[in-house]
Amino acid sequence: MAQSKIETIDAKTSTLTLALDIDLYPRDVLYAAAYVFLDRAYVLLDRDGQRFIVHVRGKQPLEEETLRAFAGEFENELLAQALRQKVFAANQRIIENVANLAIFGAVGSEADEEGEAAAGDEGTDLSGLHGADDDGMDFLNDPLGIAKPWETGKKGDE
Amino acid sequence: MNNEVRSDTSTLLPRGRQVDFAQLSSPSQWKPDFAVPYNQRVIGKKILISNDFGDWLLLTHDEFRDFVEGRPLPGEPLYEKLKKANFVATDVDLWAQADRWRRKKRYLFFGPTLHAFVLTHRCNHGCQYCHSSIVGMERMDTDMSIEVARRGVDVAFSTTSPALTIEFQGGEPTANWEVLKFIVDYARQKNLDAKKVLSFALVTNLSLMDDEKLDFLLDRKVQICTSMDGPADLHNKIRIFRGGDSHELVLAWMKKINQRYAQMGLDVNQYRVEALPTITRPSLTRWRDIVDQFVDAGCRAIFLRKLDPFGFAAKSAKTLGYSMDEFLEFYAHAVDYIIELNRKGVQVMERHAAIMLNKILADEEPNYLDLRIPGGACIGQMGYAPDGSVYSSDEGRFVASMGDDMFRIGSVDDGYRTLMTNASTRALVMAGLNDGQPDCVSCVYKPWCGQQVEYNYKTQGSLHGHMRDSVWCRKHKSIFDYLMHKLEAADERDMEMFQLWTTNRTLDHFIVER
Repeated sequence: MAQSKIETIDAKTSTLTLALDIDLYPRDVLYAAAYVFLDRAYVLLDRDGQRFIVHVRGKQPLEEETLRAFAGEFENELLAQALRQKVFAANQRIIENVANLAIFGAVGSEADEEGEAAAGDEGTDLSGLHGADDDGMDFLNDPLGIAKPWETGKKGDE
Repeated sequence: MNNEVRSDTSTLLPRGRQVDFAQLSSPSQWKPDFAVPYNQRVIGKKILISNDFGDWLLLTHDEFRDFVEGRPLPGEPLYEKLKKANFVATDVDLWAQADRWRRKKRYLFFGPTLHAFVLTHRCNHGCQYCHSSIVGMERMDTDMSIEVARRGVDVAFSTTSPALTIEFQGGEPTANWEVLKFIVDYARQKNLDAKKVLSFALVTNLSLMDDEKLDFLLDRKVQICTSMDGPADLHNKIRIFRGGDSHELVLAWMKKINQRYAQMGLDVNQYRVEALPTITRPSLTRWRDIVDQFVDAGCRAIFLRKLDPFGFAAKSAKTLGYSMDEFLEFYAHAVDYIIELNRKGVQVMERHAAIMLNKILADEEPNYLDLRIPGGACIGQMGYAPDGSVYSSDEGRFVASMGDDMFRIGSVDDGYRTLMTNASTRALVMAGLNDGQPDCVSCVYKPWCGQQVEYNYKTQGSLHGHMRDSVWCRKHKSIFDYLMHKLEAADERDMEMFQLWTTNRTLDHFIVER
C-alpha cells in the first residue's frame, strides 16, 4: 500500500519531496493544492506507481523548519481542496443556478442589448454573445428557466 | 493616552462553540424530517439555530433537544415559535419564502451598482498603510484621461442595475479635478436618458479642497467621504502630510461641509461628512479616544476597519500590523464603549455591527459587498484604473498595484457585456458563493455572511481559500458571536438601540434627479 509522507527534505537546496497515495487524492485536487504554492516555490508533479510525487523547491532559501511547515501546509491544502470539491459537487446545482442568475442579471436581455448599442457602447462586439457554441458561452443556456423574471402571475400558473 | 484596561477576553469577546450532540441527545431519538435544514451554535446559555431563509432563534438546551427529537406538537408554545420562524418542515410557506429570497437577493437580478474610478495615483499624503500604488504629485502621467473617463462612464451606464454609484478614488482623486468634473457632468448628462438612480461619492483626504471645489461638489450632490484615524497624534503619525497638519485640516473641512449641509436645509442628523478610520497597531489601545474623536467631529457612524493585506499595507505590516485576536479585542472594547455612549443618549453606531444587525434583526440585505453571496466582485462593483483597465473591485485593483493582474477582467474598450460574461468574471462569481465552502455550509451565520475572493486569494493563495484558518472567517464569525451574545443578554432598552442601528436611512439628497 502506498504511503503519504515526506520523502526527502534538504535545507541546503531548499527542496522537499512529498509522496502521496493516489487513492486518497484526485488529480484535480493535487493540481489545485500545488497551485497555491506557485508564488513561493517551484513545484514539479510526478508519478511513481501508486504514488504522486511532489517536488518543491523554494524560490527563496528556506530552513528545514520552514520546509516542514510547507509540507504540512501542502497536506492541509490537499484536504481543504478535496473537501471543497465534495461540498461543491453536493451543492453544484444551487451554485450553478445562483451563478447563472447573477450573470444573467448583470448581462440583461436582448432588449437591453439593443439599448446598450443605441447608447453608443462603441467597440463592443455583441455578435455571438448568445450563441451557445461560441467561446464556451453555453452557460447562458437556461433549461430550468431560473433566470426568467418571477412575474406576479407565475405563482398562480405553476 | 492609553485606554487599555486588561480584561478577561472571554467576557469581553465571548465565543460561540459547537453543540455537543453526544451530551444532548441520542442519535436514535433524532427526527431530521421534522425540521428544515438548519445550523446551530452554542451562544452563552442558549443554542442559536438558523436556516437558509435567514430565520433564527435562541433556544434553551431543553428546547433544542425537543426540536432535534421532533417532539413539539402543534399548539404547543415551542412548536408555534418554531413554526413562526420557518423551522418546521411541513409548515413552511415555500412561495412566501421564495418571495422573501427574491427580495433579499434582488442584487442577483441586476449588474454592478458601484463603479469606482481611480482618477490618479498621485497623492500628497504618505499614509503608512496606503493600499494604492501611490506616486508623487508631479507624476501626472498616472492621471486618468478624459477619453478613458468617458469610456469608463459609458461602461458603467451599461449596467443593468437601476441604481448606479460612481465613486472617486485615488491616490487623491481631487488632484485630477478636471476629470472628476468631467465625469460628474458627463454622467449627469447621460442620466437624462438612462434615468438611473445615480449618485456620486468622493473619497478624499480633503487636503486639496477649496471653496470652489466644494461649491461644485455640493451643487452636483457629490457625497464626501474622508479618512480620519482618531485624535491628532494618532492620525498625523500614520497619515503623514508634509503640507501641514492633516488632522486639523480634515476636522476644519468636515465642520465647514457639515455647516453647508445645514445651510442647505438638510437634516443634520443624516447629512454629515462620512469619515473612516483605519485601525493600526498604535490604535489598538486607543478605542475610547478614537470613538470620542468621531463623536466630537459630529460622526454618527464609525466603521472600525481592520488593516487589510493589500498593497503598502502588507509591506508595513510589521510596524502597523497586529493579529486578528488583537483587532477583535480592540473591536469589542470600542463597541462596548459605543453601547455605553448610546445608553447615555449619544447617537453613534459601529457600521460592521449595524450591517450585521440589519440582516439579523431587520431581515434586510443591505447589499454590503463584502458580506453578501455571491460576493461583490464584478457583479456588485467594478474598479476602473487610470489606464482604462477594469478590475473586479477596488481590492482587485489593490492586488494589481502589487504586480498581480489576477483580477483584471478587461478594459473600458471591451464593452460591458464582454466584461460581465468573460471567463474571469464567471470564475469569480462561482468562487464567491459560500455553498461551495466546507465550513460555510455548516455555519450558523451562513445566511448573513459572505466571501471576498480577492481577500482569499491574497491571504491563502486561492480564490476559495479555506475558512478553517482564514482570518476573514475568524473576524466575521467572532463579530457575529459578539453580537449574538449581546442579543442574548439584551434588555428592552438595548434591543431598542440595536433596532435603531438597523434603520436604513436613505440619503435622497445625494440622488441625482432623473
